[in-house]
Amino acid sequence: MTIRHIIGALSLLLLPALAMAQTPEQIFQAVGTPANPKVEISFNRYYTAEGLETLAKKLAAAHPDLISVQSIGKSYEGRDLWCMTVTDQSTGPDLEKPGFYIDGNIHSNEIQGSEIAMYTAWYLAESFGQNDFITNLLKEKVFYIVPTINPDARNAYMRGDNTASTPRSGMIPIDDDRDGMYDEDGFDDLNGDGEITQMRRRSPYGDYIIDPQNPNRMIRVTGDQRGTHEIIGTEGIDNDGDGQINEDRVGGYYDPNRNWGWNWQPEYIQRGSHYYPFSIPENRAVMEFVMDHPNIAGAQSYHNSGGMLLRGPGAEEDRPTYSRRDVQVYDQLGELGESLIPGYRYLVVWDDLYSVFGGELDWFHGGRGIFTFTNELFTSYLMFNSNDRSQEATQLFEERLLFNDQFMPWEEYDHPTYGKIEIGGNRRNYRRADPGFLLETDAHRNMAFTLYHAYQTPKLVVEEVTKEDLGDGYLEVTATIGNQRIIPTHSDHDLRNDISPPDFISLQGGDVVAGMRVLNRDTGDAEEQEFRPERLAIDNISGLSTVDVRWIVKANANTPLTIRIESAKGGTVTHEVE
Amino acid sequence: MFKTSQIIGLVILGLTLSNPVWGQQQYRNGQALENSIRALEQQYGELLDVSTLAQTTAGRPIWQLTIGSGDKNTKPAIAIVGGVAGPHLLGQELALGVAENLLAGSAEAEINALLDDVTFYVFPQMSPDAAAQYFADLKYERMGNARDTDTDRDGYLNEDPGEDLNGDGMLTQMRIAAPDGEWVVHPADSRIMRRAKPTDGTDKRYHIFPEGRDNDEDGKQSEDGPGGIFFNKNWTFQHPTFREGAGDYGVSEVETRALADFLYDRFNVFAVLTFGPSDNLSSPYEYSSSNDRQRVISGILRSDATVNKMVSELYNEHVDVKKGTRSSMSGGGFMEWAYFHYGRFSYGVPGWQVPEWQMPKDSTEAAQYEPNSDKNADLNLLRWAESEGINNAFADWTAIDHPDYPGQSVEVGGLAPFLSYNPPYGQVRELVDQHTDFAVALTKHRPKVSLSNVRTEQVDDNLWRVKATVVNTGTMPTTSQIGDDFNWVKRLRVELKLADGQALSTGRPIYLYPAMDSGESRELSWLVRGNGTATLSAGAPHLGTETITLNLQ
Repeated sequence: MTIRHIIGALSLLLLPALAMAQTPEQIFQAVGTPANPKVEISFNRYYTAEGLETLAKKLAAAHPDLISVQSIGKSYEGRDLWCMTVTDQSTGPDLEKPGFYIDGNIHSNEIQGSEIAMYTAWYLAESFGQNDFITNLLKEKVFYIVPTINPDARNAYMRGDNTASTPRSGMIPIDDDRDGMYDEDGFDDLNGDGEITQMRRRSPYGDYIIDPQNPNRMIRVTGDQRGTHEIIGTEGIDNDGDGQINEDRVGGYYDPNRNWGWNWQPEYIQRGSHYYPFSIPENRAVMEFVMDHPNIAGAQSYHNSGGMLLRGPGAEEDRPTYSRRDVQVYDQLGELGESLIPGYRYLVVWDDLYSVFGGELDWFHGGRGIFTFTNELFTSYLMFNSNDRSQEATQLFEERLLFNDQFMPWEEYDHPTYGKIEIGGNRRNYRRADPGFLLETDAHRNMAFTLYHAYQTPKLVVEEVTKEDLGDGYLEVTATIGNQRIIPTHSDHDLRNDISPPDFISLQGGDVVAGMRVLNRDTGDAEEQEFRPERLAIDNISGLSTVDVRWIVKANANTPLTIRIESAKGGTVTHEVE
Repeated sequence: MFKTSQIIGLVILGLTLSNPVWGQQQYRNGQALENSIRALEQQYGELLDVSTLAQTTAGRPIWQLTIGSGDKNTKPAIAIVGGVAGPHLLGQELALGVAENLLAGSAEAEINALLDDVTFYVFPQMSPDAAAQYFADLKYERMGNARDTDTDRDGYLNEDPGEDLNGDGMLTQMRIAAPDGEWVVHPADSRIMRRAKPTDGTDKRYHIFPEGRDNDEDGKQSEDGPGGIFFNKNWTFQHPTFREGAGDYGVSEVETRALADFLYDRFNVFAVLTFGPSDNLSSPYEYSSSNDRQRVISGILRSDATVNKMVSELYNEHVDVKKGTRSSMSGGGFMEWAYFHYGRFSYGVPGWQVPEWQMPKDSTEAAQYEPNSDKNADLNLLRWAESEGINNAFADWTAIDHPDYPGQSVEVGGLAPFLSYNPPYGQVRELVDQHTDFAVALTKHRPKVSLSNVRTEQVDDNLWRVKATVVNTGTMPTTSQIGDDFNWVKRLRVELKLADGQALSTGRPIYLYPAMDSGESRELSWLVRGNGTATLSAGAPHLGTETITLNLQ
């Protein structure tokens, strides 16, 4: 080894940051992406719970005025649920700004929501000060981003004996077969290749053959044909000797997305709902966080897959929960989303997917009056940006774009129950999770939709103020309060159930002797508030609309007066009257 | 339905169970409840485990008593729950009273044997924050716990409580004369108010409001007092989300969550008995075919209705039930939850109803009373209370100057709180004895599985055939119909455990069975290769397990 080599190796060891981050002179910006970020993150791979934690802490360390990281609670196995609070801290406390909540990975095998949430935090922080839209967004709003709300089972999905569909739940042991034993018979990586795939056996009585067009694929024979193989099932053995295979696996069946406290229904009606609303510790932590943050006005919970922008209701029985006016708001957001993300459709859970109770988006909307979407990330449309999902297209994608990286070739194995079999098939990271080269694109488009959603949370402003001297030392102050975005301070559902407190509009500085809401500015029709007239309670400020308020105050034209708007979901605004 | 010998047995039991040391004279406050429980603990250490399930927001303990012998958590169990509604102090006395009677009865062979087989989980008081109002300086029928709430959802917490305007130590009502009032004086008793009819005219009408001031000047009287969430309105069955006392979501409170967690951890519970407002014992829930036609089940299922009818008859044999009492169900209720969402046999009853007051037979005495022709419940309550000699059952209407209604005629008065919930304490002991007998009888009718007709046949030198019949020898089905498809109720499990070197040629080592009715059976058969000692067991946590050793050699 030459000295030059040693110096080269040393510099790689000692200066990894320099080795990774180019100097600004070496970079030419691609439009729409932060060119020289403080934190480099690769968005063409996935991260474990600890990997996400490291990234969140790196981002907070690099952007201390924009990002703080806190644990909002513990998972079943004791991992922290890390939340990044992203906002321009110089423009006021987070609770006084409209909040937007983002999480991912509630279903543990639906992993990429976490990377997309992380991409959002990264993009916001790295674009702040560079891009006006993002800069203003962080001045006006706060984002609460919890990349994974299921860290235990995320890791179990990535590292344990699981398939593309498991665990889906968290890691609370469940006696799936009700025999009194827990998680006693799960999958087993029999051939030790790190993947749980399928078991097949050559059999003259089988009903499958190897697809002549695609040797990786098994197809069922039709008509009067006899097959050459039988498909036995997912890789595993009868661990508990009860004559059944894989019948009670680890992280067995409960569904964290059926456990939320809006129209929750028991297990025999809604499979997976667990004991009672928020009996699952990860959900409870999120619920408590949301209850403690009444400023959250919009939310997104990322799932996979299918390319969908979903709104509630989850259950057909809940149709009345979504009023026409609330649906109009969802429609405006969802329709823009469809145009931002090719291949994604704006759909309603119960009508277009399935009718289920106790979903997270149902509680956000029904329980808290928060406008909420769930994006089902990735769709096979993204293979060729086309609706061609034929076997030929899929095979072309697998062979010529993934180079068959998704497939574990069939391997012989001697099974204790089935004898000589073969094990092989698709790996868990295929079909539901975005392939690496598509992940950043999917992340950016979905983030853009979510940022638009967040942008449309209420923006309250004191539009204009007039003062009139009434004589006898009385001053009449009339103010127009506007909401410049499409989301109201209270959804219709919120108003019907009085979920959020009213918006309070106060006049500070003089002795207020009367206060009223002006119903018609031209005729002077007004409704007086006798109790605490200086702090007027307004039930709602609708999207793109105004409210007029008036006070009679013992003051003169020179008395300094301040109007203060306090809206749970619309933020706190202070306005000095000229 | 029951054999005569069973009934006689139960009657004898009823007599022997009367607790000779009963000295309780009044409804117990938190301290007295604790004292009673500690005294039981001292006296019956082996048979009784005492714990606190949780502490309320106000720091009051929620007591939990486990009564039984040996390894209590491994035996079939019944949960007995009182204090479901704060003002219903009787519920607490019944639950604790049953516990006291069982422990005292443990000296008798029959109860002693029962405690060998069955565990009783007793929760005497689930609403300690609300119940404390019964003993407070200001008395009123409080349902809510000590959580601060914005009942009227105006952005302020607890800002408009009731006030004792006439200084009598309790919250009653105010009546205000007004031509647009909704109430008039009852013709049979001028103290009682009834709803106005159009024919009543408008010159003698009243508004009725709760006693107090409109502290927040929002035009609503005393609409946001201290607390809280109601224990019996916070459960998930038909949870009345956002309604007063219900909470923002089901099982949101310390009290409800602690009990749910306790019960879900105990698969051995086969039934829940609740002393509270909801009633399916005075008369049973009835099955109608619409009950299970919808996805969300809202009425009792067919097979469970049959069991409910049987249990209700059992209740009526042991307890004097007021004629015409109907079953009742309410959204967010605990007893309803225990059936619909916990999947267990669940029975509830208040334990006592205000009796129907009878017109005196003596005609001169009867002449003092106008007939209660519209069966007014308040009038009946007042007449019954006065006939029982209850003092201060009614606060007479007295005029006051009310700052919110200057110049108007405002009077404070009305029925004293708690009267309709709780009988005079002197009647409690008999009620406790009756309900103890019922609880014991219910427990004896529990589902039981046994292995019968167990046969081992040597087919050849090293080949054995094992046959057995598993039977439900109890009165109730092994599992409720609603719990049969429910993850949180275990299946009846039959297991044949072989010795090393033995193997099965036919049959599976474990069989799981859905609900079996009383007397229903399953035939089992195995072919075993190899000699050795095998064990055959049948059961489930809520049924108990029978194990038989098979000598196959």
